[in-house]
Amino acid sequence: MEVVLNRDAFLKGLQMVQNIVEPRQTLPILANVLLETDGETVRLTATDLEVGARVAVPARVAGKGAITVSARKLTEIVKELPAADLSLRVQDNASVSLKCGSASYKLVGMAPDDFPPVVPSAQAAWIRLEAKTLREMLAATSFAISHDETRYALNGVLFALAGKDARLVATDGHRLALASRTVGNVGAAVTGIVPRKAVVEIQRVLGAGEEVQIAVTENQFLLQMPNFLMTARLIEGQFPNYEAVIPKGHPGKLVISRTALAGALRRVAVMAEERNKPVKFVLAPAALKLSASSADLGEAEETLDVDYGGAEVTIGFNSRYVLDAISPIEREQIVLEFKDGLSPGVIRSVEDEGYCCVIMPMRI
Amino acid sequence: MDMDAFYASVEQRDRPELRGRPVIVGADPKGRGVVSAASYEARVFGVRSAMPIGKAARLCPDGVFLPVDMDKYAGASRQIMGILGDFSPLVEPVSVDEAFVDLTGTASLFGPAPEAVREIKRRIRAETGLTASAGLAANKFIAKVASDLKKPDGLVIVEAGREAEFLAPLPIERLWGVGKATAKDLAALGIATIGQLQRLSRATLVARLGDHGAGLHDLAFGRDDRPVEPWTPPKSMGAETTFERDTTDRARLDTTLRGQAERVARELRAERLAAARVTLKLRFADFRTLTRSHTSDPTQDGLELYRRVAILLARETLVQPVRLIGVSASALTAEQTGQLGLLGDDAVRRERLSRAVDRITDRFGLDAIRPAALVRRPPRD
Repeated sequence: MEVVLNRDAFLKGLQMVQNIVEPRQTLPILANVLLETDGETVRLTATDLEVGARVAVPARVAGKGAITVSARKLTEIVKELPAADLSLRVQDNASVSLKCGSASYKLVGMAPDDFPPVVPSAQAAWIRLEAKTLREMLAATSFAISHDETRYALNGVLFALAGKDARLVATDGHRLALASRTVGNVGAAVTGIVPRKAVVEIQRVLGAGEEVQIAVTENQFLLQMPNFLMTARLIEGQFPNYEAVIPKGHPGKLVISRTALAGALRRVAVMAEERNKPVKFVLAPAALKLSASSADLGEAEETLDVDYGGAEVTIGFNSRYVLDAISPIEREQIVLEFKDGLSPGVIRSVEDEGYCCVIMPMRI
Repeated sequence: MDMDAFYASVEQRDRPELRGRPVIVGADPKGRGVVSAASYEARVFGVRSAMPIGKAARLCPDGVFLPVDMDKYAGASRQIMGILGDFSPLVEPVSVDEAFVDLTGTASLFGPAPEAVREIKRRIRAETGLTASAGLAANKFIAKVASDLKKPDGLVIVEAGREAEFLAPLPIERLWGVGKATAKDLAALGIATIGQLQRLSRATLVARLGDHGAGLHDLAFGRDDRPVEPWTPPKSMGAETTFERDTTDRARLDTTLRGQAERVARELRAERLAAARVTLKLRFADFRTLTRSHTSDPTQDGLELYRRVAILLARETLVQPVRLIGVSASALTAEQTGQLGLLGDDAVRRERLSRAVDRITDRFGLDAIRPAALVRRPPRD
């Protein structure tokens, strides 16, 4: 294999796949990135057997072939190279010579034959949507993914696609975030839990303008952009019945300014106990009082004027959860729905009916 | 500090119609249990705590018999212990209604000790509507005896150095460790009061009663140097089982964990704690030992503890037969605080279930109720 690449394009390609490589691998070859010629491009592929990504970078191909080299070292090198043409040549003993300007490297590689394939399953039913839409939906849900690895079904985002309705849901057992949007036509209804790592990588690689295609097959999640493919093995397991978790018809409702609530919450939470950051919400006619205290530190309190005339309600929330729930909302007015101190509260956007976050209270 | 007829007083406080009436808290009066507490009105009829309930029913047929509502008394108890804690960092709860408070060095904050004690009694009455009796003395033993002398709402102060004089007229049964047998032994020597006991030499008492005699001699003069030891919360709770024969049977390991998790959870609930971290311990045939931990929401539910520890076990490869398996719960916090769960079992219902199970096992023993998974199935033909 012998190719010449543009250094900037090559670096951009490497950065799109390189995060897939785990710092510690079960197989030595998984530390490597696969480089292979494909027409007038070089394809870069990385995988950890769960999530894989592949990107095509334009190249002048003088000789076809393939090789794998350390993803980390290759990225480190290319990052330091000047913006010039860069040539790669595979030598007989599976080593790679890399030249750029007056710098030259010889990298020890491994034969490509054992590299696990990153391929989409054949029967993928692709759905088109704007990259911006997907990015917003992931931002509105991914914060609620569970970090508890014993609850593996919660370690990802549920994609539920049916008709023109695309829903993304994540929950960690304390809160649940849902984003739903109308997209282009979806065929049969499909669902799949996309692992956290893939979600993080998608958010990283999604650009601003372009269109993307996604598909959920029996055991894979697929994402395609021009010259880019990501595959992720779906998490096996039963995602909770999220519709049953979202309360319907809570008696209490409060419309409040997002920035005012977030600001007051941050100020009060400074004095809250560090682990769960509990803040007490006392809602009385025309006033929402937020307070926090900790035995070692002291206490804080702030009252917001609100348009509320119902009965007095006291609810404790982990303030981080409330701030997380507010942050994806772009418009100024948010809605807080509640019942009592032991029932989940719901945060919605006044403008965006497709978003809601359900938060279970704390006992304080 | 010793609360007066605590359970009965709490009931009378909460139900004004019971005030002035004989109230007896304890087992079902038709059954075979005992009296847990009797109001002063009931004591007039001769009803005493620890008396068979049937006897109490005969002595006081018009008494109001109530079941023990421990949750309610525990709430009042926490409130009282909280008040005591405002007066000294050294508070040693002896039971739900009794505690030692070390007032050494608090004079600059609360005035002389008798003033502080009066203020404690006043606050308990004002904040809980209950009365307490106090004994103020230079050591725990004398304070305890003094607190019992002028019930209800009493305050007995014994000045340092006058302990022997204070004890002299009291019957020997007031001494710790003098039960029926010792009292009978001493009665044979013609001793009925502590004063009479004080006149015996230490050697005579040791000759008669052995080591126990030496201790009694000290107590008779009111000597007691035990410090007030505040309750410190436990750091962890656990259960372990060493198998008769090493095993690789995962079903057996699972069942063992299930039983251990229930035991640990029961202990957590008894201490009103919940655990955030659960740890699995495995010891293999070659004595190699490994531990695996997992931290998430605090729980005191046996099923939940089991689920967490079972996942830890499922991840391990059993390279050798297992000799010992154990569960421990740590990162303990007060129960019923913290984050509620959104999914799965309704935590509030599970708590009610656990409480009901605890009440059943308290009354009928550990074999009375258990998860179906721990019921040994009869062998099939």
